[in-house]
Amino acid sequence: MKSPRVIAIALLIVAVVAGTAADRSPDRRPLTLGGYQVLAADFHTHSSIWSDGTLTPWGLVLEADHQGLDAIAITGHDQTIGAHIGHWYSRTFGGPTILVGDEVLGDNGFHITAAGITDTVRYRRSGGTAIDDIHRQGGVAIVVHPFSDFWPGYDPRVLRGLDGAEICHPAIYAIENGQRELEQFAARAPVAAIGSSDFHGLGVMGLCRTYVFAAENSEQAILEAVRAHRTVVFGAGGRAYGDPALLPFADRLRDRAPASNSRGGALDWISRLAGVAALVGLLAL
Amino acid sequence: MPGVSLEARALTGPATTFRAAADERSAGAWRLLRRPLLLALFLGCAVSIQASGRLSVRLIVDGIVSFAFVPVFEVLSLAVVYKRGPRRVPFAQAVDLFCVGTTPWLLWMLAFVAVRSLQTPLQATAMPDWWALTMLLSVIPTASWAAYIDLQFFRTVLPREDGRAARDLILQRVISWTCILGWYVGHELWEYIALWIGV
Repeated sequence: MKSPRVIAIALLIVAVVAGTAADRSPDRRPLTLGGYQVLAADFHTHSSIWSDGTLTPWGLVLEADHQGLDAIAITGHDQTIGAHIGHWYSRTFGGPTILVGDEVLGDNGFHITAAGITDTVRYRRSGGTAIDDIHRQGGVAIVVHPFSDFWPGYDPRVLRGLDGAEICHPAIYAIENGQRELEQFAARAPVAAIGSSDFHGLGVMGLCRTYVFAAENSEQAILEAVRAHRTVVFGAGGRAYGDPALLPFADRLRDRAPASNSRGGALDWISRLAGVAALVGLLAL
Repeated sequence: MPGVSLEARALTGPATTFRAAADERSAGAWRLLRRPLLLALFLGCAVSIQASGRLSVRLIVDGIVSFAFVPVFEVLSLAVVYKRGPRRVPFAQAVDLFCVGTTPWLLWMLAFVAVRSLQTPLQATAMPDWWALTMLLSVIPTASWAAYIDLQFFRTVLPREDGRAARDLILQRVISWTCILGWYVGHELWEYIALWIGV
């Protein structure tokens, strides 16, 4: 083997060893506030099984654990295959609580995620019908990325049936007035404040997350908390949203929020710089 | 050029590079697998860095599993075209050299991985529209460059005469892109198409 390529392979090994050493789950101390167990959840993630994500369903479970999340909903596009696999994996091998979910496309282009369901929700129907189906299955209905372009799709029946709406979505940091539009939507309906990352693999899972005040860490307790609107979410600028009775606890949660502006430690830098150099070397040498 | 990879040489002079490489007969399982595996490794590394900003075994393996369909469909689509006409190299060698044509795509991935490696989690997650548009538009020169290299592959390695090489390239692209996009976003795409046409 040519020696320059050996150097590239050695660099790749260094990168992977450093990256794997840095790839640790955060220490999660259980937190009880106001008599509830506080759980970090992401209700909007996509797997690579026919849902344009980059991680497998079991990869999502492991990633959720590494991002300090206690629960996620795996929300395939109008299908629940990946969610069922992730749910099975977590129950069999352990990990965060997995809610079977579905990102439902409505008849006029709106998106609603279901969490805690059993089967695929019938799609390309009116929002009210989709929400009825979600509730019939015992799940909760959450409006996702309700920016102004989507508003015409949400009629009064939809607004009455919703359990939650995203008040934090990664796009609020990229779209001018994005946060304000989500606030305006949330003001139209009495819903639980939801933060979710719409994780497809580009970026970090759980960067936007929901702090759920649940009786325990179980699917039913999480769904019950969302129905009761017992959530707190941090939006742009660190502003807290959610149940007014729980907002006084927000400051206790801030140190649990992910470090959104940190590029990591020395091992991360070694991993990414050596990794990029190794890949260049593998191509060129 | 000693010390420079086949990939690097093929980027600037694919016809000359392929002609010389095709003259060196080779076959075997390693020859068949090595460049598809390199493609899979790049995909796994890209997934790992995009999701976490670092390379870890867990995410690289997961990315390889998630995107294993890409090299599989590439090889299967080549197999269809390979069987349809004259061929002067064994299939393993054809696969090995054909995968050199993915180099523009690997460079494309590498460019975005390099940018991601400098971003904070917030910058990586909240992608501005202009950045998404850059990613999308950069697909055009990348795909064109890869198509040019593959056209030279069909002309010089198999070898097929000019018109036939172009038809084979189109056939291979139709098969592989249909399968790859169908597998990855087909379900979601169909929902929008069905909504649009009202079925």
